[in-house]
Amino acid sequence: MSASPLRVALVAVNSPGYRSLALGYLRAYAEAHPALAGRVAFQTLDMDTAVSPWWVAYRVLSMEPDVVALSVNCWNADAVHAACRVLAAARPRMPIVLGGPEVGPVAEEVLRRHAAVTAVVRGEGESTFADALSAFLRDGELWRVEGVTARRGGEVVSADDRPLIADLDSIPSPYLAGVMPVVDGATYLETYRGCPNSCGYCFEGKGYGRVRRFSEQRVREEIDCVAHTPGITSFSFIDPVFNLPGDRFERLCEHLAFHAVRGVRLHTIELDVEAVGPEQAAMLRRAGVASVEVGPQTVGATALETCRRRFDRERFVAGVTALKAQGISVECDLIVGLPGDTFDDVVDGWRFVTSLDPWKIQCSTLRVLPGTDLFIRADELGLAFDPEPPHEVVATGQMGFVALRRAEVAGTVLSEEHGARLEGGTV
Amino acid sequence: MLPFVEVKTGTGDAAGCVRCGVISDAAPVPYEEALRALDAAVAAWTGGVNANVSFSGGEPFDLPSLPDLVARAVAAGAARVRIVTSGAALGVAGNAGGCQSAGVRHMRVVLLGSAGLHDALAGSPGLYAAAMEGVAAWRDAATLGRDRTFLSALVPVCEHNVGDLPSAVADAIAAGAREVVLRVPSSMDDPRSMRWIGSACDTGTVNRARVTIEGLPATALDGYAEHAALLGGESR
Repeated sequence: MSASPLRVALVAVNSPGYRSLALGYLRAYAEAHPALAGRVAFQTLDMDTAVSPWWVAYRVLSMEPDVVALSVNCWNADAVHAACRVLAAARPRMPIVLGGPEVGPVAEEVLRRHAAVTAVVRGEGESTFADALSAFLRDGELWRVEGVTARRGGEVVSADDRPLIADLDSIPSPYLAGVMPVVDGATYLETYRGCPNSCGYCFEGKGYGRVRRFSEQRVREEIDCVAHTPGITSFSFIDPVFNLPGDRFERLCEHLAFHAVRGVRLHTIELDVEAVGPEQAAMLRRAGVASVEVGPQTVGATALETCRRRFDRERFVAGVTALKAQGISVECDLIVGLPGDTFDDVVDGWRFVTSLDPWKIQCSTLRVLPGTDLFIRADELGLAFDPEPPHEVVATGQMGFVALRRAEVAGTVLSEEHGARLEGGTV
Repeated sequence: MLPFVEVKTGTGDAAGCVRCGVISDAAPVPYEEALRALDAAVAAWTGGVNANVSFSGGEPFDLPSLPDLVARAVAAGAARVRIVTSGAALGVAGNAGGCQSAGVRHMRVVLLGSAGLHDALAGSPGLYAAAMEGVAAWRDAATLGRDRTFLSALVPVCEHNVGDLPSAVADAIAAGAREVVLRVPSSMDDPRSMRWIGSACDTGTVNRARVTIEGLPATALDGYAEHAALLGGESR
């Protein structure tokens, strides 16, 4: 008679309306892992931040799992840790494993500060988590697993880093594998990992390094799966730059165009807008792109240099103009509190984006995220930030606390004022 | 912060301080005059970015042709249409929803002070409550219509309400205003007044709303010299 499978609860506390693609990948990879076949049973719980930590714990415990794994980002960290405390109090021997950008780069600190947490999966999680589950089945010695930080007796021990997965196609698609439902407007695909840019405030490039791509065939299969799902009218890609240079982008657009003619649209696609000309804008339109996000985050020369970000005003304007001419809604994003930006730089940014009259302006406050370049260089740059998530900037070398608060309020109000408009003004 | 082209629908404000004697100034302009002003504004729009139009002066809702003016602005391609009102007319059944259906997304209510002072300065008992009813109707209509709207307040500052400004700002924000514009006479630059105005600006910030100053260089405010652009001026 075989032993009962290890019951694993995969738990996400998402922004309302979202589902965790990360957990979908973890589950799809682990379910296909030969060492785990038939030995592990998964259940995924997608909840949102409006759910109380006690209710999260209730839902998890009612599943009677042997192991709980939660994905942690800066915006859900408080809720996740609160739920973990309840879970640990209710089931002290049940292992709790965390992963995600909020905990991976500071794994040892997380384990020292949060007694409820058993282990942290650092970096890209699929193969590490699968091996961690194998360790649970074997001897429970998680601290030996590459990419894991765990407790060994009273110590916190970090095993070596795990290399990035070389062949992304070895990670099954959660949609094709059927472990994630395809939901209209809330389905996200990924065509590559990493980022061609290395902006100092962003975890994307820092966490995944060089650009690694899923194969075109795999991407096409995922697109077809999603686009042919009954009731689907729109989905999105989480690629940090959708329009990477090269023929592959053009072929991807051509493939998407087959679905666009049936009315399937793409929303909130992130673009390198400075690479967009009239021809590419038309291509994006044919591909069904309805809305895009384009930066510039700041127009201040010092902040751009400090954050290793480029900005060409003329090319930016040309790109936005080309997109608008194709009827594509453009969202311009600005960040308040970047090191190097003065108050006047922030105001210049507002003036610049309002002069473009995009569909939407999003002004957010800098979050100094663990593992990012700004996090590492905070002292050198004179950046003060809240050590607790979501790590909002408190003061910079150029803007004190009062100036930042005034600017963030004004930026938020500007977004609302701008968004109250006739064209595209419906919620 | 967004620029609006002003089209006058009357003289004076929708509400004025009777102690200052400005209320007698309010009167609607003839329709043809408002139309000419709108057409001139439309003709002056430059290509690329659509303009924003604000109907203000007197009580715009007293103008029977207001729906026609709004429709013309929308048809001309205005991205945003605003009405500056006492707020009371918004409480009349159908007005708030009708405005939004017609394309008005920005509403600005003239307040002379906080709940306790407004009626006394307007010389109109019950006007504040009527304004708040109107504001509530505006917000309800926006919820129902799922339109993004923007509510702001205009406070014409005078010696009779300057000490009330922080309360007025707080009350306006509590009613849903995301911006409060303080229109300050340029002569009102004495230290005491400036302290109240500065406090009103800070009240806005801590309540996460924007306070803008018209008529006075914001650089004159203590602590705001470097941030004057926030208040509608240029930084020092």
